[in-house]
Amino acid sequence: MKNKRTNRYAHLIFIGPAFFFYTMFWITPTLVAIWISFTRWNGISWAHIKWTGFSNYLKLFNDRFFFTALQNNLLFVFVCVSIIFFTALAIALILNLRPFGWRMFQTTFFVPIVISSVVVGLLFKLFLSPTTGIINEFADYFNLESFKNVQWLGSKETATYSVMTVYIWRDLGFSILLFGAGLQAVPKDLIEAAKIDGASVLATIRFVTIPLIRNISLVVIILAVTNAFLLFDLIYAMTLGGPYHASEVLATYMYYHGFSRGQISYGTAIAVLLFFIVVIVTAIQLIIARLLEK
Amino acid sequence: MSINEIPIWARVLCYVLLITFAITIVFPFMWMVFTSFKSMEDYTNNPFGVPTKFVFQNIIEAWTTGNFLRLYINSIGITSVSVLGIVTFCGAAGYGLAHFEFRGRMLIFFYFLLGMMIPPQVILIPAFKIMNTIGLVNTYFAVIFTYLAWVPFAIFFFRAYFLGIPKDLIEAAKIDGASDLVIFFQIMVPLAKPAVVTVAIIYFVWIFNDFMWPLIYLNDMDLRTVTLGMMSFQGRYVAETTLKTAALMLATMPPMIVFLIFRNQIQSGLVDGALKR
Repeated sequence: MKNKRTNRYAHLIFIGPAFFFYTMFWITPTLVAIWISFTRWNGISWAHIKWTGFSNYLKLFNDRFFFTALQNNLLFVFVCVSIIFFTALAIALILNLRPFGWRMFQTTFFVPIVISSVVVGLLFKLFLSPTTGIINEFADYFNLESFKNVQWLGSKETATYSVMTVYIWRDLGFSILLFGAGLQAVPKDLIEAAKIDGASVLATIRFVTIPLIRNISLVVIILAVTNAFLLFDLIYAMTLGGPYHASEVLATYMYYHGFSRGQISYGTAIAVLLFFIVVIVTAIQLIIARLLEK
Repeated sequence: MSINEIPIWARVLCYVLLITFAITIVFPFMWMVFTSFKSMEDYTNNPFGVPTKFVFQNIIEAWTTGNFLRLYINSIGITSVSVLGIVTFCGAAGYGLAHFEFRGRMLIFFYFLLGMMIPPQVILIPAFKIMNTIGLVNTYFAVIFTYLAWVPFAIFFFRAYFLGIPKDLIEAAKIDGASDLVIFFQIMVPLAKPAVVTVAIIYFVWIFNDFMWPLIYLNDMDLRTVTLGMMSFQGRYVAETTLKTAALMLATMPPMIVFLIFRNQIQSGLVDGALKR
């Protein structure tokens, strides 16, 4: 009898710890986030929270830096993700042809994945330094006037684009990895069949391989788009959103308000909006994928 | 399909593309390694090439002033404890959700999945305020508890894995009089070893490289992780490019060496992580 009793509640012991930490430090902050985005709060005492309805969200519409941040996020989403997608696909297809030394190439392309974005960002910051950076040294060496002493990260015109380049450099490997896995899963006999039918390699890729890796393409796009919206580390390490908010993205702008300026509610409103943007964009992508399948 | 079946011009194009990409990846790292062995004078005269004289001064100075030993102990300590916790708690939860019959089982499973949609950026500010209220800011617990909360993926992964283990095995053990905990630790855990390795790798890479949570929770110099320490190091020394590069090399080389040793496991782990979502 005793045995039965312990069995009845055993699932609580198994699920309990994970449930506790998850509820306490993930779900609770989410609910609190939604709540304080509708309030005004100095962030010091929980007793001084004042409900203000949608005022934080309305304030966003008059905030031009918010739109700069959103625009930069969209730049990352459209420009970087398309470049990453097509380049990664091309490289994965080439690697799948098993050229000489493909394993070495593969490993090389994946290295940036395991290095933290912050360290990558700091490395490229040194790289791009207008006085001692390697780009500047190149310009000096070849006497390229227009590339000398350029404030790659310090001027409004170039800061965002410089970070975008580094972002592509850092994220490409992961997409190659995913495409590679997708290509491995393509049944070998289908490829053989196409070959027997006299199809060229290019035709086989176009008509057999590409249609078969549709699902993995969807995964690559959704992950890359989500990452581009949530971007934080790289911007923080390279420009801190500067100069004068020119390279700000939503996550760094949220941090700026929440932590640098102490505008807790306003910062949280940005965060909540970011959350809804990501959810809606992911949903839209899934719906489009469904429609295309039909 | 093989590369030999395509026209020669296409083959050349493929190789040119691959080599160009390989150079763009390798060059920054090579520059980093070379520069950290140069004196500042050597660097200004010869910014690209191999050091004319190998100097270890930068690396020694970066190691001591950057307090790298401390940074690595912190990073590895925080990461190991968190990964161990995640694997234990989520392994148990995944097993519980897969093999126990109780009311609301699916509901709890979906509740756990909800978190996959909530990125850390969203909860950063309130999480900090909550942690501050319970007085854990500036302790290791703040980051470790946060990482222990990131359960959705691990639970999802473990549940799927345990569902693949036949129920008969558990029934047989029960008839033999084994308790639930004995079944879990002595039968299930050994069987789930591949899943444990995958989850551990994914979380290790993620937690070791994480920056946002240490940034807000660990202000104390002695608590800093490698990424965080790196950030403040680069801010402190304004002019010395060689010293900065030396510090960056100390931050990149160990993860890179680990990656090169375990690259197959890490690659398949990361792929599994992305595709099973």
